[in-house]
Amino acid sequence: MVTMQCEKIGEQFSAIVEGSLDAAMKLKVEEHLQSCTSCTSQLAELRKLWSMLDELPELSAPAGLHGDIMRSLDAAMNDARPQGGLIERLKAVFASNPRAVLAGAAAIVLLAIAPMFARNSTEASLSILPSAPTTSDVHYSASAIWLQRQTGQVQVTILAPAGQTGVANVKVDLIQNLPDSVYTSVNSVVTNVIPGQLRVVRLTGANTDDLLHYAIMVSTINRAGKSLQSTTVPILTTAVRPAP
Amino acid sequence: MRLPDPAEQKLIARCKAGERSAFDELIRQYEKRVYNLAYRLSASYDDAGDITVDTFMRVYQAIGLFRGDANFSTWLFRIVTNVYLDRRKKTRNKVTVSLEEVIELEESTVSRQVESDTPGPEEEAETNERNSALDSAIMTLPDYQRLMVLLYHTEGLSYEEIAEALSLPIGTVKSRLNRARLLLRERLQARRELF
Repeated sequence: MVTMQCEKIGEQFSAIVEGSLDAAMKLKVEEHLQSCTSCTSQLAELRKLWSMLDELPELSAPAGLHGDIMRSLDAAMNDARPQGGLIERLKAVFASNPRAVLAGAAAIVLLAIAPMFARNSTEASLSILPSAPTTSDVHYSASAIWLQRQTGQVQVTILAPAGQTGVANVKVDLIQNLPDSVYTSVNSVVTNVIPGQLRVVRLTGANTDDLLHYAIMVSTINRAGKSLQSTTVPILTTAVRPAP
Repeated sequence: MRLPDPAEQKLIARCKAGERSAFDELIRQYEKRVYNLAYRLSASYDDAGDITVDTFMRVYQAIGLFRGDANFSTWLFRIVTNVYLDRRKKTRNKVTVSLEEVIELEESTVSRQVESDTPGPEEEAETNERNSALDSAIMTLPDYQRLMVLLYHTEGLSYEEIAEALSLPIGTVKSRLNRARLLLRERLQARRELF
């Protein structure tokens, strides 16, 4: 007959099999098992099940699976430059010499914008996102992210250097990196970028206490709004500095 | 919690740098495990293949943001789970088809796909039948229980790693796994002669 005691013991079955019970509970369980054939037999079955689960054989992967994955990977690699390479290069730049960035176009954008926003923010932090190349022939050489803690607003500045030809349609996404996982777009803005001019877009929706888990994705899009090329770069905390 | 493997860390750093050959190596290391988890979650060979491809595409997109404070396998299995759940949301009404496929598999296909040490033919047949019954019983578990059973028993993740992969408190993982095992035992009662 199953009793209340049996139910409580049942909650401990996995711990019993693992041997992770504390001494007091172990004693209680052993006493119960001596007088309860139902729990004893359930426990024996669970032990058997446990070892069968651990020994469940691996299935072979289909012969063409690796090829399928690599074909998709090649297509994705052709579509966009890998983000990791850029991230690593930027991290290295900031870690070795933060002032090195001042030599780049990013710093010019940043310095032009920073004072304007500093006045309105109570506890501002600043991150910069230099050179976000999006295609082989167009390079948006400077992007700055300004985060206002009061409003959770992120400002992204994009510059297509003079010399590039044509106006590019660009989509800017505020991306949240869910814990150790995939991207989700919190907010996005579509705009165009004229060579030699700055384009400023503002996005809201960032949790300002969780800056590390946000990134900006800049994509070129066609007339139908389809993303052609994109690059995603996290906010670099090594570049954070107090507001002037 | 296992410490990250230095060789694997180097490989991941090369992937972050965009090296195709590094991705190739990383995918070779994990594709079979991803496929197995995907198959046992989806109960469909076709879906398992698609989930595996989608998983590695998400790995490629997100590898730059992998911080390395979790084991790569924990991070990877979280992605498999997300890909599976996303697909499931889109194809909820196709469950019956999957179950039919499982029933069909019980008869023959699984035994052909299983890698084993090939003991005697009778023993082999019995083992295959038992594994097949166990696989089918696992597939009848609710999603979250099935996932935990697979991550713990077939993928060898610890309670801590499962808690991290699924963003759950460790106590919840332990109690849900205990319930899942008891439910599995119950579901296998009908095939008691095999055990």
